[in-house]
Amino acid sequence: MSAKSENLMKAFWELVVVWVIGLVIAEWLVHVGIDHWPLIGSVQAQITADATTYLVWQAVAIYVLVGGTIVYSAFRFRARDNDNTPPTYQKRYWAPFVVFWLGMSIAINLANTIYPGMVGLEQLWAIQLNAKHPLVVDVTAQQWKWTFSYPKQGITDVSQLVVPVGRTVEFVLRTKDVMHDFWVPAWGIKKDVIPNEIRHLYITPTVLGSTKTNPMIRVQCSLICGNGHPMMRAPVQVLTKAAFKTWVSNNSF
Amino acid sequence: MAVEMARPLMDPAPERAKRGAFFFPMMFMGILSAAWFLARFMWGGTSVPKGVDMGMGIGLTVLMLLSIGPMLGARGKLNRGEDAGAIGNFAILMVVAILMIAGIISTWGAIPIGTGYGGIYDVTSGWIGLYFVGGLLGLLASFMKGKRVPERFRNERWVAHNVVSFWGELVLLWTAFFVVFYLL
Amino acid sequence: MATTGVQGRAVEGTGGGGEPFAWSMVLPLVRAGFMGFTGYFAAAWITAMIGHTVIVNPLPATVGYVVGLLAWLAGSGIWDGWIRRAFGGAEAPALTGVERYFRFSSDPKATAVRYVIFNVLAFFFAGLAAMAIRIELLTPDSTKWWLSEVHYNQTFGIHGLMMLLAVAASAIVGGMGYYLLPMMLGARTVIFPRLLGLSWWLLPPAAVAVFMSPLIGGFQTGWWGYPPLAQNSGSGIVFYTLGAATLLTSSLLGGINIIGTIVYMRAKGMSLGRIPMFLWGLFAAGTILIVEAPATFTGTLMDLSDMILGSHFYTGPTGHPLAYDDQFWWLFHPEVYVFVLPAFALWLEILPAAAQRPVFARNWGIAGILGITMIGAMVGVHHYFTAVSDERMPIFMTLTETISIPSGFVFLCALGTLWGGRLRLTSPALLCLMAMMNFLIGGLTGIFNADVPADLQLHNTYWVIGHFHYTILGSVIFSWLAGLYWWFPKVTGRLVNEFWAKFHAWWFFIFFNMTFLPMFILGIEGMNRRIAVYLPYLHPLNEFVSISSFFLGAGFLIPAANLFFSWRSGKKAPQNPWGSKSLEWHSPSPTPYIVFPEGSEVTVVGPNDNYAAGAPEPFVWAPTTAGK
Repeated sequence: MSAKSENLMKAFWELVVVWVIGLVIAEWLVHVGIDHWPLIGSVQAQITADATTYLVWQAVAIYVLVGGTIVYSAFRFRARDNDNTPPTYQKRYWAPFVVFWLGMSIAINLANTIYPGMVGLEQLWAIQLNAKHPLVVDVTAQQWKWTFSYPKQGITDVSQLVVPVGRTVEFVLRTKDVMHDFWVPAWGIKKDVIPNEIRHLYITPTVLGSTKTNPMIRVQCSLICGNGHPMMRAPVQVLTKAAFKTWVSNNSF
Repeated sequence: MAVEMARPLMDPAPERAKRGAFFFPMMFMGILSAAWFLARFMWGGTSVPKGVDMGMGIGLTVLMLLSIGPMLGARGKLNRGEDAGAIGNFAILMVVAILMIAGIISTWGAIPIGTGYGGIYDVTSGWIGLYFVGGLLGLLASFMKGKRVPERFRNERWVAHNVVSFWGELVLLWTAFFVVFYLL
Repeated sequence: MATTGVQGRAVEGTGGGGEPFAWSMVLPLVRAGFMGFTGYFAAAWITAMIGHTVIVNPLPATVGYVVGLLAWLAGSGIWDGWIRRAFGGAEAPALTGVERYFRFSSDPKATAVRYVIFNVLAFFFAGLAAMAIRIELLTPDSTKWWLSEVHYNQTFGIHGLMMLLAVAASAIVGGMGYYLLPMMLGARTVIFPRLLGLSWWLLPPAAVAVFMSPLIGGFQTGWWGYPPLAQNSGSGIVFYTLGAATLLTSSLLGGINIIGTIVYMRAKGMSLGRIPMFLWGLFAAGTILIVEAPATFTGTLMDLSDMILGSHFYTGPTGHPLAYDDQFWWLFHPEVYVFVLPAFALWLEILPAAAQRPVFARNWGIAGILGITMIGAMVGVHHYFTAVSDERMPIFMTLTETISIPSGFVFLCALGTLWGGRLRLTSPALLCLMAMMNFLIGGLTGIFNADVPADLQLHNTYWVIGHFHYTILGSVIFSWLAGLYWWFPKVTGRLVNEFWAKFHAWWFFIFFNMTFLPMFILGIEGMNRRIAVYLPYLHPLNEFVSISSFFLGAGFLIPAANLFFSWRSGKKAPQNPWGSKSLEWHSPSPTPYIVFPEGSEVTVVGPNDNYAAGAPEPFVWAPTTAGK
C-alpha cells in the first residue's frame, strides 16, 4: 500500500457502514434483552428501570461507535508484515474531530444529568412528598434477620413483610447493630440502614405476588453485615387492599 | 563484589531539588494533620470540655514557639556554612522534641478516650507525637553525622536543611493543634 | 540510533556487576523474613503476657505487626544501606550486581523488578482466592465441602484488598513506572532513591499479614472495612487496617518520588509539552496519592483505634459510622485513577510507536488525565448513594458523570492516533486495544452507577462487580501485561514469545468477557454482592460464570510461563525492537546499572513521537559541563 493511495475519506465511509451494521445488531439485542427484563414491582422500580434501560440503549450505541472504530482501525490500518515505513498521514490534530468529540461528550453528559438523573430523582422525591397517608412500616435490621412492625395497625415484630398493592408505604429503617441495607429487588430501590440513624424509604408496590411466586419479591440485605449476610432475607407478600385488611385484623391485637 | 564507582552520578539530584521535593512529603503530612484537625469538629463537640490540661497545652505551645529561635538560627548557620554551630542548635531542638513527646503523653487520659473529644484528642496528639519522634530521629541523625563525619554532613547539607524545614512544619502543626483542640 | 556511539562509553564496572548469582546473595531476604516473623511473635506474645490475653487478640496483633514490620525492614539491609550512614556510620557499598535484587537497594531499576515479582505473586495468590470464590458460587447453597460463609467472607475481603492495593496500585506504577521514570526524563535515578527502595520493602509484610489474617480471626467486611461490623467480626481487621495503611504508605513514597523527579529532574529541553504521556499518567497518580490519601489514613487508623484503644469514633451509641464512608472513599475512589491513569497513559505511549503516528491531540490527552485527577477527587460519594441524604445526590451525580468527559479525551487521542496509521499489531499493541475495548464497557457501565436512579437499584449488586472488574482486571491488568511485554526487552534484553503472548491475549479476552459480561445480567436480576449463598433462580448463570472464570484463571499460567522462559532463553532483542522514539530505548538493553553514560547529558530538541519519515532525532547528547 503506497502512502499516496491512503484514502482516509473512503476509510471513513467504510467505518460508517461498520457503525450502521453494528448499531442495528447491537440495539436489536438490547431490544430483546429489555423484553426479558425482570419483574418491575413498584412505581419506584419503574423509574429506576426506565433510567437503566435508557442508559443501556445509550451505552450500547456509544460502545458500537467507539469500539467499532477501534476494531475497524485495527484491521484497516494494519501494517503488512515487515512493513516498517511510517504512514504519510502524520497529522497531530484535526480540529473538526476534536471539537465534535468535545461537543458530543459534554452534550451527552448534560443530557444524562437531566435525564434520567435529575428527572428520575424528582419523580422519586415527588412520590415521597405527595404521600399524604402512607402505610408506615417500622423495619428493624439486626444480625441477621428483619423484623417488621405496623405501629398504626398495632402489629409488632412479625418476620414477614406484608403490604397492600397500590398504596405508598413508608419504611422507617433502623438497625440494632451494624450497617445493613433494605432491598426488595422487585421494588427497584434500596436504602442503607445506618446505626444511630433513622432512614425513610417510600415504595408503592404495583404488582401482586409473594416471594413464593417470584423470588425477586423478597427482602434482602444488600450491604455486607457479617457471616449471616447472604441469608438475611425475609419473605414478602403483596396483597390486594381487602386481603391486607383481613391480614391486619388477623394479626393485630 | 562490584562496588559502585560513581556514586555522584547515580545520585545526581542537586541540593535545590532535594530540598524542594521534600515539601511533597511535608505537604502530605500537613494535609493529614488537617484531616485530623477537621475530625475534631466532627467528633469533639462544639466546645472544649472541662478537664483538659490547659496548663500543659499552653506550656508546650510556648515551648514550640520559643524553638523557632534555634530553628532559624540553625538555618542561618547552615546557609553560612557554620555546620558545627548548626549542630549545637540541633541539640537544643532535640531536647525540645523529647520534652514535647513527654508532654503529649502526659496529656493523654485527661479526657477519657471513649468520649468523642477524648478519642480524637488522643489519636491526633498521638499522631503528632509520631511526627515528633520522626523529627527527633532526623535531628539525631544529622547531629551524629555532623559530629562523626563533618565532611559528609557538608556534602549532604540538604539533609540538615530538610530536618530544619520539618521542624518548621512541626511548629506550625503544633500551634494549629493547640488552637483547634484547646481554644476552639 | 544516532546515540549508539555515545552508549559505547559506558563507565567501567557499571554494566550491572560481573558477579554471577550465588545463593548467599539471598541472605538479606531470608534474614528479613526470619527477623520479621520472630519480631512479630515475640512482640505479640509479650504484649499478650502483659495484658493477660492471647496473641490473636487485636492489641497483641497490632503491636506484633508494628514490631515485625520494623524487624523485617532492619533485616532487609536498610541498616547498612541507609540508616547506618545517615547517622554518620560507615559508608555502605552500593551494590551494582545481582545482589541488589535481594536486598534493600537504592537502584530504582532493581526496585521496579522486585515490584513486578511481588505483583505477580500477589496476583497469583489473590487469584486463587477468586477461584475459591467461584467454586463456592458453583452451587446456590452453602457448599458443605468448600468454604463456610465465614471463610467465604474472609476470602473475598482478602481477594479485594490484595488485588487492589498489592496488584493494581503498584503493577503499572511500580513495575513499569519506577523503572522508566528516570529513564524517560533523561535522569539517572529518581529524586529520593532510598525512599523508593523502602517503598518495596513495605509491601511483603503487609501482604503476608492480610493473607494470614484468617489465622487471627479474619475479617468479614470485605475490603471496605466498614464499621461497626469491623469491630465485631474478628481480629483479622487489625491486619486489614495495618496492611492497607502500609500499602498506602508504600504507594505514597513512590508518589513523592514521581512528583519530585518530574518536577526537578527533567533533562535539558524536557519542557512540560515534551514529557512522555506515560509520565503524565504517573504524575496524576502521584498527585492523587499525596493530596487525597490523608483522609483515608485517618479513617483507617480511627477504625483501628476503635478496635484496640477503646475509642468510639464509629461504634457505640455516639459513633458516626457514616463518617468512615466519607473518609474511606475520599482516597479510594481516586485510588482507582491511580490504577487506571497510568494504564491510559501506557496506551498513548505504546500505540503511537505501534502505529507510527504521533499522539493525536496530545494536549487534550494530558488535559484528560489531569481533568480526571481533579474531578476524581470530588466524587467519592457515588460509592454510597444509598447511604447519603437526598441533598447530596444531585451534586455528586453531576460531578461523577462529568468524569466521563476527560476520560473520553483519552479515547479521542487513541482513536486519532490509530486513524491513518500503520499499525503493527504486536502483542503489546493487541493487549492495549483489548484493554480499550474492556475499559469502554467498564466506563459505560459506570455511568449507571453515577446516575442515582439507576444506581439505587444496581448498587451493591453483581452489576458493580462486573463494572469494576472491567475497569481493573479488564483494563489495568491487560495494560499491565501489555507494558510487561513491551518493556520486557528493555529489562532482560530478550523478547517474549510472540505466539504465546498473542494466544494468551485472545484467551484472556474471550474468557474475561465470558466471566464478567453475565455479571451485569446477574445484577439486574437481583443478585447482591458478597454472598456465599444465593437463590436457585440465579444458578444457571452463576455456573456459567464460574466455569468461564476457571478457564480465565488457568490462562494466567501462560504469561507466567512465557515471561519465565523468555527471560531464561528468549530471542535476543535488538536495542529498539519496536521502533519507538522514546528516550528509554536510547540505552542498551538490558539496561546497564548507570542508564546514561558518564560525561554526557541528554538534551531534548523535539517531540518524542514524531514518526514521519526522515524526522530529526528528538534527543542529542552533549558532554557534561562542569558544575552540573
